[in-house]
Amino acid sequence: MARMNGMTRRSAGGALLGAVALAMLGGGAALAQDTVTLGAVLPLSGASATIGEDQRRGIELAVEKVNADGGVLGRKLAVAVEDSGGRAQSAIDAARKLVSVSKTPVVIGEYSSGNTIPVGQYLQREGIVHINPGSSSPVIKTIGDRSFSTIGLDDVAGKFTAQAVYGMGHRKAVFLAPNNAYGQGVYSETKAAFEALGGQVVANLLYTEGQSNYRRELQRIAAAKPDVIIYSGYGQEAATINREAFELGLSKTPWFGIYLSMCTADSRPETVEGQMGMEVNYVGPDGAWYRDAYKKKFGKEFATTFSGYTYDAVMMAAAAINKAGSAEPAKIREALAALGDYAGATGPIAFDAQGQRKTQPYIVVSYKGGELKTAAK
Amino acid sequence: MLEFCLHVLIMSAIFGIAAVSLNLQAGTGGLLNFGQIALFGIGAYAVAILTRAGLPWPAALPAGMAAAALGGFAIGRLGRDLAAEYWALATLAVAELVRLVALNEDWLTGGPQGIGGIVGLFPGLDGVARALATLALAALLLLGTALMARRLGQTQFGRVLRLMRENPDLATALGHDIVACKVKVLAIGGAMAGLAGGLYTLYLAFIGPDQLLPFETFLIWTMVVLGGLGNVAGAVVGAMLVTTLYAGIPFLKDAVALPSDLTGSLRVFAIGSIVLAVLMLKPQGLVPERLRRLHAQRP
Amino acid sequence: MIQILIDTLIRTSDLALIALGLNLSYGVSRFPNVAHVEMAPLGAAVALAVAALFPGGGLVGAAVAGALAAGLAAMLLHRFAFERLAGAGPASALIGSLAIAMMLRAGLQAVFGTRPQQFDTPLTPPHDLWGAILSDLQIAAIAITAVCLIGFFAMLRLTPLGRSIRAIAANPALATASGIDARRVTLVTVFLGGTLAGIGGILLALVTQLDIGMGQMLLLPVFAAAIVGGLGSLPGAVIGAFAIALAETLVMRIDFGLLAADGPRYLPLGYLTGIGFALIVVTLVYRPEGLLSRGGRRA
Repeated sequence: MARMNGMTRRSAGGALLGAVALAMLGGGAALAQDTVTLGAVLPLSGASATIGEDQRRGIELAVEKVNADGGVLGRKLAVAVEDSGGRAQSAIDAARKLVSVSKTPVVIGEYSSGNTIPVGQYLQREGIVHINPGSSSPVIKTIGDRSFSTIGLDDVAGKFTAQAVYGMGHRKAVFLAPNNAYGQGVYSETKAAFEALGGQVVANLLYTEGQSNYRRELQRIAAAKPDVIIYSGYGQEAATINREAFELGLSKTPWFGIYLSMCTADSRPETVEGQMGMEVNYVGPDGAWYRDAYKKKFGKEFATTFSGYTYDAVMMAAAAINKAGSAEPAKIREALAALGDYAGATGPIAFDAQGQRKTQPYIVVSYKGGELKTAAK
Repeated sequence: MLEFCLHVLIMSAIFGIAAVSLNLQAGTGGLLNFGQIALFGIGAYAVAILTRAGLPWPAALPAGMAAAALGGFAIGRLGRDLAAEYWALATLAVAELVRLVALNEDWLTGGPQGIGGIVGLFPGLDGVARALATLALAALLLLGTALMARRLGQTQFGRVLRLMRENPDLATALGHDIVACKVKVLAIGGAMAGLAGGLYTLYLAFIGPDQLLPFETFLIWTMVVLGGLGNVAGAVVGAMLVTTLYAGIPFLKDAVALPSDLTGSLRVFAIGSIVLAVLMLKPQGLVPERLRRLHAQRP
Repeated sequence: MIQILIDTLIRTSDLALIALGLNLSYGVSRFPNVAHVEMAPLGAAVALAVAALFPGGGLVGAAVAGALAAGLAAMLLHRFAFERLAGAGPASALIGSLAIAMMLRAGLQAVFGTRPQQFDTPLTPPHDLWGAILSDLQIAAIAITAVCLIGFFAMLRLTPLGRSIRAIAANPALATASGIDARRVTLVTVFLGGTLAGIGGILLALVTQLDIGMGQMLLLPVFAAAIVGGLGSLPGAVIGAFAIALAETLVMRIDFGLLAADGPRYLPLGYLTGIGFALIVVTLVYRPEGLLSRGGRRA
């Protein structure tokens, strides 16, 4: 009896492994001939899942748009989305799967610099086109000639923020952002630009994400008595911070949000009323269509700012494929580099010699009566 | 597809080394080290920092191992007189502190941006040739580590370790210095974990603080427990199984059409359920430890 | 000064109930259950769903439903998974609980999505209590936590069930010999532990919002509280939560620049979460069994 039992157990384990192996073999063959498939590696689970899901939505919108307009090379466009779980190793596994099994000529990804850099380096070595839609670390510049960014790196965003805040007459700022590659990058660039203008950053508060409350952080702000609080945070952290700041009476100090729509997306409207901030051109006159399309499709405001960049990444890749008349990675790379000015959801995009987004138009916005409004500049 | 399989094999070999190291500490010595990723990370960061400074990898790798051995020595000293489960949780705390240092001391570790652009293994080779060379190196090192762990298990030292696992009081009564044994096995295990970490950095050409999250320790534990605690071959099998699972699960998604907004949850769910299924069906692991008589050769 | 006390109390009430639930379950099941913290988002998510489905039912009804759901889930998991896993040793049970935690997290994400959700509660202007600022909901959360704690410890001291729980935690064999149905009491205890975690999660969601990934974020602080207080010790869990909250609040306020010329110098915020881990290490070095515990030091 015991022996029988052991046998069944072993075969159960074997069946599980067999299923995985079968799926591995079968997966590659599932691609139809009449589609051009691009790849994307996004953090759909793990700590950055909210952002990953928003990035995926941008891709979904773009694929619908491209196919509604006739697809690429007369074929349908598809994007195979893989989950990185927010881990570098899973991200690289996913990129390798896309390249060596699904044979995608372009891979879009990831969000966190710690994953984007190794994925980009791998794609560069393999000669596959890499489009970075979410990381802003300056290290991205060094990946190589196959790598492009649709997002402006931190130096661009930091300089804009510093000028806007200084222009409002604030001189003494505290800086509040998540302690990750994004927060640290945007902090050091903003601080440098703000101090070059003559302002002063009296406290930098790079907080650990996912805490149950941020009172300790916020009390340090109160102690520093700043003119302005420059901050950034993803939906849920920002909502907690805004609520607690409101409850601590800190909302009397002016707040300036970097990517304000992201900072206010999940916050209660009362807690962020009157906040100023910088934003990608979605809310401006020539970018509002994207925000409307997103709202129509998903029934909600942006959870983060990052969906527009994946949208633009897919649109530009599709444009480059059509321009090259081929889905060969080398041809797509050339076409992308020569695409010139592209009118994207996040504003006009042009690449510099390193494949990075040369300029990114930002606008100053304010939160009034439950929505973001373009502020007179 | 070939390249992808090579990649999975390389990763299996690298994590195999880390799993053999943990198996030596936990399986043979009964030391529940929940800070294994810190030893791995010390090796990884040491190699990254040294190669960034211009040292070639054959020199950086042993240095990384030495640094990780020192780390193992330190956590061994820390837990001198703690009960097993308390020591286990103390190692988890130490590992988190190591990660926080990696995250916050950007002058040394690159902070949250990590250290990238490392000149990896065999920069002269390309594509499949490079993957094959890397695999050969990793497999060779895994073999060496596994043989060494096996030999250690058969020596007098290994028997004392097992005695320490089963009955620490008896080991003390027989005149063995438990603390010295602990420290020694952690230093050896640390060097092995450091080797795995160093290889990992060199292969991926990148290391960042997110690679040191406690989840990664749990992952190595999963390998050892699935494979069968206490058996060197089990650790290697477990590492292969878990690595293949992580790399292979996304293919399951392609076989069944699912809305892509469920991709993330599906992957995590599938991994969790397979691990759970193996644990429930084969509680002693896939390659259980062969029981030896502890008192066969009493000192 | 009052502000420090209030900040400490708020943070304590974030952790205390969940840590208490963890130690309660540990006392009868004897392994650190990683999946326990997932009962917090589970309870909160169910409460939110009930509140949305039955808008007339009121907040209290929804909260009770959420807490009971968390308790039920914990009990079912224990009955159908952990009882079996625990037979293969604490390491298997721990890895199994990790696998279950992954499955729960993935399931919650698939059902409830990744966006945070809020209870429909009024946002009231803050109160100023002798210089310390706090909101109605924060006062309510601290009060509810206190009431739950008092009620729980009263139950433990005064009822037959409480006596059975204590008997089993102290010595299962003896308890069974004296006629206690150990299995039934264990299930009830695990149910209580899950309910406590569920209430903790609901309070967290109430004061700010429900973050479906909160289990992952709570894992280490809650374990830190449980360890500092002493694994399995019930008052220890609460004291541990308070100790960690106090240490975090104080250390973040100490001005290390008192002797330096150029203004205040604080510990970088990046190390805030490290304070709990440092406290674990320090506690275990000086009190190897946690602040309160029945033995843990190796004899």
